[in-house]
Amino acid sequence: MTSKGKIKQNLINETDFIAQLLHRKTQNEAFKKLVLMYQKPLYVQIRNIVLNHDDADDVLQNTFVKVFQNLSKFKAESKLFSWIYRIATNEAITHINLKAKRNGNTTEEFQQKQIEKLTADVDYDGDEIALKLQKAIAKLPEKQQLVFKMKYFQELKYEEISEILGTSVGALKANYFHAVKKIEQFVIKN
Amino acid sequence: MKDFKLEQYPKIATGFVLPDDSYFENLSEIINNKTILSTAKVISFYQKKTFWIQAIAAVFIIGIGIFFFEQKIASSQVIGEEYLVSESNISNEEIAEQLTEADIEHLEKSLIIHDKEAIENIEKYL
Repeated sequence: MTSKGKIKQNLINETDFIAQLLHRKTQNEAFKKLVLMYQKPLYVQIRNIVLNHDDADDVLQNTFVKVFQNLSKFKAESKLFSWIYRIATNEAITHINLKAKRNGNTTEEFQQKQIEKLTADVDYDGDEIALKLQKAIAKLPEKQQLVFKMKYFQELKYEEISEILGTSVGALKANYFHAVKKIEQFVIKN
Repeated sequence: MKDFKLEQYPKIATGFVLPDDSYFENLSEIINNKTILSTAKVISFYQKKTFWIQAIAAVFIIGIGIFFFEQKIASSQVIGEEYLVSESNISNEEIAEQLTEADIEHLEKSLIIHDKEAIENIEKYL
C-alpha cells in the first residue's frame, strides 16, 4: 500500500514543480496535480495513525487545505514530500489527541477503543495477528508508534522518516529497535 | 505464543482497506472546492447585511451625539446669561455712563421705542 515510488516518478523535476506551485498563474493547476499524486499515500499515512476511515478522510482534507494555505511559506530547504508528510502527521496526531481529550480518555485508551472497533469496521480486513499487532503498537510511546508504522508498514527509509519527523537517523533506529522488542513481548504475552 | 520474532515472521499487513477510486475522485473535487475555488473573493449576503447595519448604527449614534451636544450648548448659554444677571454688581446708572450716543441710537432702534403702536399701548396702559 505504498505509492511513494509513483510520487518520485511524477516529480522527476521537483524544482520545476515547486516553482509552478509557488507561481500565482500556475499554482492552481500544479496544486490539482499535487492532490492527485499525494492523496493515496497520504491517506495511508493518516489512516495508520487515526485508524478509521472517517477520521482519515477529515484529516486528509484538512492536510491538503493546510498545504494550500501554506504554500508561500514552503522553503525549498526540505523536500516537498517530507514537508507534506510532516503536515499530515501533525494533523493526524493533533486529531486523535483532541478526540481522546473530548472523550475523557488518554490517547492510549482512545486508540485501544478504536482498535476494539476495527473488527466491526467494513474498511478493515486484518486477521488475528494484524489486530494483535495494532494493539501492541497502541501501547508504544507516540514517537515509537510513528517510527514503527512508517518503517514497517510504509517501508520508508530512515533518511525519509528523519526528514519528516525532524529526528536523527540514529535516534530513529533506536526507536524502531525498542518498538520491535516491545511488540514481540506483547505478542508472546497475549 | 512461546517465541515471536517480528523480522522472521511473514510480513503483517495493516488490515486497512484503501477506499476505491470513486472516493479519491470525489475527494479531489472537495479539496479543490475548499482551496482553489474558495480563493476567489466572494462577499456573502451576511457580510453585506452587516455592513449596512453598522453604517445605520453609526449614523444613528452620530445623530444622537449631535442632538445632545447642541442641547448642552443652548442650556449653557442660558445659564451663562442668568449667572451674569444675578451675580453682576453693576447698576443701570453705571452702565448708562459707559454708553456712547451711537450705542443709545442702536438700542433705540432695536427696542422700537418710537413705534407708534407701542407708544399708544403704553399710553393706554398708563
